[in-house]
Amino acid sequence: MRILVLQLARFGDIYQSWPTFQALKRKHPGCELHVLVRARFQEGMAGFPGVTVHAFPTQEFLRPILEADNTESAVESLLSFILPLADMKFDLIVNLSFSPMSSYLTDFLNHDGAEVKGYTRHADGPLQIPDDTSAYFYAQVGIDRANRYHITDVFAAVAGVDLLDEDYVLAERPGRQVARDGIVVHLGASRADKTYSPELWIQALTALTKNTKERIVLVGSNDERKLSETVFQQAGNSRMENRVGETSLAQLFSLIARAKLLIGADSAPVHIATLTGTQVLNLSSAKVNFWETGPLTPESRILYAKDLQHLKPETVASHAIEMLNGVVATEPCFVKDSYREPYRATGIELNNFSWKLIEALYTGTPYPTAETHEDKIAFQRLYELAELALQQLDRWQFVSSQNMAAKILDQLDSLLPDIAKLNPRIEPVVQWFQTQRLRIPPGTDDETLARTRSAFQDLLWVAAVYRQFGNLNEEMNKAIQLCKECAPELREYNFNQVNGSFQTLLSTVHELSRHSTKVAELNWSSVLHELNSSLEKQDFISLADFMQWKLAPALERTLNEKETFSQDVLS
Amino acid sequence: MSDSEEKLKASLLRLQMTTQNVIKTRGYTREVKTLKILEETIREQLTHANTRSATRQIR
Repeated sequence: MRILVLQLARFGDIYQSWPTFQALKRKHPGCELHVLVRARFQEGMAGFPGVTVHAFPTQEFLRPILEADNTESAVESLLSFILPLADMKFDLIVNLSFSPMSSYLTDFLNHDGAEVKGYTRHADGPLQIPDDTSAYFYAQVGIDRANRYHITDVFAAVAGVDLLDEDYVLAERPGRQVARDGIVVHLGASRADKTYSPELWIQALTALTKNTKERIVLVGSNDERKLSETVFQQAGNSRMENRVGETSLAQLFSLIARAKLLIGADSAPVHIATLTGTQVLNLSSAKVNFWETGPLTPESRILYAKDLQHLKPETVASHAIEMLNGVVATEPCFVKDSYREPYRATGIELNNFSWKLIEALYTGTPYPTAETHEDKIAFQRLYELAELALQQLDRWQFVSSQNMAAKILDQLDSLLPDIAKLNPRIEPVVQWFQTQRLRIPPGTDDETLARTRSAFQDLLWVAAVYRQFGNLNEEMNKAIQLCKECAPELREYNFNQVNGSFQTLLSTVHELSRHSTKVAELNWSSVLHELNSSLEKQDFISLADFMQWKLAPALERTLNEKETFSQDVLS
Repeated sequence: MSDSEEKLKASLLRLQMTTQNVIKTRGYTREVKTLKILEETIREQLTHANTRSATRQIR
């Protein structure tokens, strides 16, 4: 079996893909594993055994444009790289890059008989997100998002592999024969706004050196020399070594692998530490989402402040000392207990609403309770919007109504992000819904209409969970009336006439099912199953019979029982 | 704007026009896929290096 993984991001993502590479090799014994990375970051694959690395030479493709303004030569140069790759006819193509470019490249490399995971393109060009994990990534992953699944696990899920503990760590860790020793400190980060200031580093390292005899090695890239020299001048001593700009990636691997602890912000060394099983004290801020890209080595800690510069240097030092001494955290932080459990907040109160919403949407856990009036209002708006959209889709069958319906649907589309902007806590629902719509494949008008309707119906049901529920009796009476209204028309096969009422009945039944398990002798789940399956089979007679002879009487009996019970209690 | 950036932008415009013309006449062909790869490679240079979060907005 020949597998190609596209990983066209930076060092950090390449290292976070290593566990997936290991799991792919385990899942497909004897497979030929190829990895496509950018030439600039290909060193990130050094040290991973048994793979063929292909380097995507971006600068080479662009050189004809930059030097001679020659686009045709650029196309030729690109073709000379991608055609031989396509000729390799990979059996499985896994795109872990999530970029438009990678989606076109994946589509180019695809062929009959290949299995594709990750972003690609539909036959007529639009983005295709074939797997649910990539759809999850599209909707929920990123800075300022509520996602708490680690990107390493997301990569594995896209590739269709389960990670074991041993996949997270290099089997051949450099220096594994000798005891760990010292602390490695990475002062810099990939961006200035993710970097702790030199003044704060000086204070933190001064406090640290006062309280430990461990050797400290400063590491980083050439660009970080100035920062390291400033820090080293002020905080350096005989036990500190400044190796910033002096180490290759292989040497960095080796240094981190032998260390007891790595201290640093969000950057490649943190991910190298995961691969070498080295504990990390990670300095994190709102500029990154540590849930996604934080350190994974058990017992690692994350110190978080919205603004990194608000992290107190003495706190950094005291956590480092605690970790070196194997003492449990006494000050607020996030702790990693094991590879596959999410970080545990200690001494920090977390707002879990948006994350719980994500879990409910994607894993079927119960929806969280709306905590604020604003949450309830936001869901009410989503409900109204979905209801209005469904009404417009019902009107679509009448050609004369299509123009107006299209205008209203366009407006509803533009309103959706506004609802999320007004209350970012419900953003996961909006992102989920928009991604579901984006995933609607090319098809006939009828197919697209049915799929769009289904997406809005799903949104309606989710929003209905939070809708202010009226009087239970009123809702039951409403359901009885809707049954009686729909049944005669269904017997005449006039489903389109009562489609709107039928959808209202479905959402009413959904709401009622949240307040009880049964209606008379019927389970709500069986009621919903009966309604949906008859509708799917377009068996309108069975549907009418069920509504008229089973559901409506069951609702009436329940109402009567409640009334008798109330009268008995009163008398 | 730097000279390189100007050249890349001009090239991107030319590529977009060519791509549209091919799509109109021949549909979404292998040639279009190639042009799109180059188009997107240039676009990445004009914003910033290819990070995950930068890619979500673009269909």
